[in-house]
Amino acid sequence: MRLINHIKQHRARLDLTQEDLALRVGVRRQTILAVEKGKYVPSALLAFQLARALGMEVTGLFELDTEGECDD
Amino acid sequence: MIDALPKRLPSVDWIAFGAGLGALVASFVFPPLIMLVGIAVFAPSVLREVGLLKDADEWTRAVMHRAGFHALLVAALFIGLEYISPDFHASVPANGFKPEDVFGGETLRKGVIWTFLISYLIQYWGARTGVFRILLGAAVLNVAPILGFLRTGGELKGLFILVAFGAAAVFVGLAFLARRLPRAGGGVLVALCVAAFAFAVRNMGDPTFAWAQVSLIFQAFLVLGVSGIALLRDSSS
Repeated sequence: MRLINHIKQHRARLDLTQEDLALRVGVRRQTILAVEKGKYVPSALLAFQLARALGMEVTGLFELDTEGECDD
Repeated sequence: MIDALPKRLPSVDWIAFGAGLGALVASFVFPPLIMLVGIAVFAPSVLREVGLLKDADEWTRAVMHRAGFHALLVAALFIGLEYISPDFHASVPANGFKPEDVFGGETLRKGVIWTFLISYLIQYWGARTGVFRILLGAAVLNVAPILGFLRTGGELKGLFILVAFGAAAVFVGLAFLARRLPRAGGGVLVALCVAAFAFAVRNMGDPTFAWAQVSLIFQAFLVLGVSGIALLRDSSS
């Protein structure tokens, strides 16, 4: 199970660069890059900050990818 | 409503990186400046850890913690090798260099700094860009000693310059290979690391093989090994 996000799509919708979004939430561009690529799972605080900066709810920005998970 | 853009964050890391690189190059002319490299490498991390640098960047902190763990692993490896290798020490002439400095002392200190810095940069920039820039930096560092050598002169000046530029050219070639073909580049870097390690171990009994050379090989190829593993991991994920 892993956490997937839709930051890139919503960032594009608002015509924001990674640098713009990074400045809005007070992190570096590399942080946005790492989160978008799924290399870094942000803290709950940063997830809420990202959602707010993109005008979204956290649940609309992040979701659990349960593909391949066993149900038994 | 979307907030207005705040001011760009001041990058303490870039200032420290520039200062560290400058000190490293300048140390070839004035050796005591090498002390500033360690300070520049660890200063931003220490400031963040004690709470004096509040840039609220949790990724940077996570990268710093992981790089610190990698440096700890390398330190443990060198300390362990030093502890279990008394016969190894006895088999090599010192040539003015302390035998224990191969795995402890000099190599341990530089190994920890190199590992921390390389791990930090590779995580921060990403494997391909990170390794590319690190190898270009290694090329510059190969040429930098010429500054000190030109100052003092010597009858082997021409040969020294040729070797320095030849080694720099190899690093530049490896940098572009790592960027264009990361899997192949990673494989070549790891192979070079293993080959250098085997070469160093095989020549331990050679009376012309000095401790300083062994120590240098461990440091230089630690850089290649860490970079190669990062590239292979990145290209397989």
